[in-house]
Amino acid sequence: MFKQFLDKIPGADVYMIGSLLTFVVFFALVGAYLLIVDKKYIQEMSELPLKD
Amino acid sequence: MNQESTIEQFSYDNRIVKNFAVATIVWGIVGMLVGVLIASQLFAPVMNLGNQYTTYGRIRPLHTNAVIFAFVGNAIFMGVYYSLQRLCKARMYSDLLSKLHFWGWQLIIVLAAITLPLGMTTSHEYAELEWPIDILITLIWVVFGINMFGTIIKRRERHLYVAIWFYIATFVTIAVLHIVNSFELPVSLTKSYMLYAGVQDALVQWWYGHNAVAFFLTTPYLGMMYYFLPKMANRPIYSYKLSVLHFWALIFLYIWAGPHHLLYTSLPDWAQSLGVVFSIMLIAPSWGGMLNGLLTLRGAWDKVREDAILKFMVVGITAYGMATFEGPLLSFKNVNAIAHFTDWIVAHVHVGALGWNGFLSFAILYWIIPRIFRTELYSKKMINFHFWIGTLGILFYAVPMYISGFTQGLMWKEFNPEGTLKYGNFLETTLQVIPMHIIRAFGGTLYLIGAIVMGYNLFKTMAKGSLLADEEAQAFPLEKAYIATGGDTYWHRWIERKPIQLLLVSLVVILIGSMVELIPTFMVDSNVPTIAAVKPYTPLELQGRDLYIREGCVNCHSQMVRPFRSETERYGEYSKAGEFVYDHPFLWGSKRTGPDLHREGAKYPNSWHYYHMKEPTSMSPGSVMPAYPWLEEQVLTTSDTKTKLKAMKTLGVPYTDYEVQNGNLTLDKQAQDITATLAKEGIKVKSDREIIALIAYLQRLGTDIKKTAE
Repeated sequence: MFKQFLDKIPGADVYMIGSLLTFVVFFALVGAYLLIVDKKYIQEMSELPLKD
Repeated sequence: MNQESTIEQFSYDNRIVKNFAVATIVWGIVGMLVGVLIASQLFAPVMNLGNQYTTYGRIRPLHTNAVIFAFVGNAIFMGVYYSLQRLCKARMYSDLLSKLHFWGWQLIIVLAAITLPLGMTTSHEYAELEWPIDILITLIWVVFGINMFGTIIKRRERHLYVAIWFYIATFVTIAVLHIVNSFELPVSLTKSYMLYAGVQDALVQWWYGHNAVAFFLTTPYLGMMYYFLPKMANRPIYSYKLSVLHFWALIFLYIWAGPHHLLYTSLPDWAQSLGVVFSIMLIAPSWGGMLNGLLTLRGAWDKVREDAILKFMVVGITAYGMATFEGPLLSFKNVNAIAHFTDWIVAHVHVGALGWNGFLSFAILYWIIPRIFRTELYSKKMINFHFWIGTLGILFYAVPMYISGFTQGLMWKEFNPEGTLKYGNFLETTLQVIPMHIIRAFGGTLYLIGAIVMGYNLFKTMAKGSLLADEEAQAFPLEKAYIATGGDTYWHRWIERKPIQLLLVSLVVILIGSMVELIPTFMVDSNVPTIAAVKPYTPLELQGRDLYIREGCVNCHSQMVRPFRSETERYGEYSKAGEFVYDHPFLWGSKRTGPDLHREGAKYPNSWHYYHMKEPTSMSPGSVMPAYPWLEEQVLTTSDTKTKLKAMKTLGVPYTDYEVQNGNLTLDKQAQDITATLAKEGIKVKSDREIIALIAYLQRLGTDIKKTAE
């Protein structure tokens, strides 16, 4: 499937794969951040709507 | 420092919330009423009410615009203005901007309600409004943005709760979508031509169309879900971490999915494939959000049994889950081959619209109104009644539409053992699903009754209480120079604290997908192979095309023969990208209530079209198409022919200066030729009538490519 469009557009493969990688990297960074983030802080954030 | 001494007193603006709430109720009922009317037109043509301003083609966009931008739009602003103030612990930035936003938005709605029945339309689905209104939308959206960011900047809560992220992403993405999809060249105050043509126009439109669903009907509602559901259930969201992941993954992936609306069309294969891949990936964040919502109610299901507001939320979130499961399913090419252009899509969007948007809006209205009016709801029995009649309404709407969709999809493709189409006459397939359309209209009526009961209940509640226009609140101000320490030094925490950074990162995230999809289609010539035989429309055909747009024919007829044997057998040669290079705008359509028209040219004599437009049943007994007698009565406006040709020339259509200057001479000549052929068959009609131009256009459709074959 990917081969189809990579073949048809010269030079486009670099930024298409680049954009997918951007997503993967960004997703991994957010994921990693969520793994190490302080639980107290997360709890505080999740209670924000209940505090007004 | 003694913090007690610095506490600040301020008030929340509830009047603006009330105004948007009232507008939500009123426009909701109006939009649904128009929905029921157009639903009935599909089985009883008499419901077109015999005049041009209420025919299906003109008021179907009125229904979609009313429910999307008037009902849902006002509901979004109601929810945002209520929750943003409280999450930021600040009054809205400017009361004047709030008022300007409210009245400006209502003005846009009124202008839409006037111009659409008059036939002033760009024909881009969900972006039908003409260019002056587009500019007004842009201005009012900027007012909303300034007001929102002003509030966020003067907030008294350092961190931005995830609901606000969704609001920011909504603001920035809708701004980008609206601007890019509104590049039009004005011809007059009420008419414009799209800058892009054919395939490129289609890609921009469905990049816009799909993401209008994503960033107008989904992200703001997810933001509201993350705020109001914890309030209603009195417990925090199930997983805040999941909401963070949900946010980024959703806004990144959604923007790529548009081309799934154009599978098997003349759009380049790579763009179709890209749309499919990302549409399938979308199920992960969508279901992450749905589960986060439903799991918030864990241990509180006893409350759901008692509380009708929570019932609305549960059904709404479940409908979101169903629609977002079905979306990726529909983007598989083999499923899409059957579902596209059928009622299946209508069922799909209404599960989302009636279930997700409708029910969440109702729940939030029921929750907010008694609070800002400091009273109890007028009648709890009525809410329960509304919930049950609304749910039944959705079922009576969706189930027959699914059956109808499957029926259409299968009948269109069924062959006899001899290899000919079993239902060669398209009309048979339309008539087959009429009972389903009757039940659908019944379902819509049930849903409308529920909304009217809600309106009554809420207005009674308002009358019973008194509006707390300025709700007193207090909070500590933020320290002016904040130095992040400990966990607050993380990079993501930096984004969470800064609204402008959040806006910029969101913008980058949505632009990545947009650029990868759009740029190659615009830059690479090989994506739209040119066909030498395809020539620009004659002046008369161009005027006829504008009538086709004015009457909204695109709402029932596609102009895209897909490369299936079942379609080439029925309609002729499949559509090529190069055939649409002069189509500003493209008119591929998204629904076939009637047959495809791309190969309509030269299929029937002129007289057939004349009689068919005057009274469709005279040529197709049993047809549900409305009659268009006014096309014979009205004189074609030709004073703008030169301006139109000039505009098309500016857009790159290769008219010569001679052709532009002498447009009306050529037009008259062709009109007289058509009138002469009609006269031979005993039809007396003047050559200056609109019907002549429309016949000229219909007879031209898809014929150029046949010239190549000769």
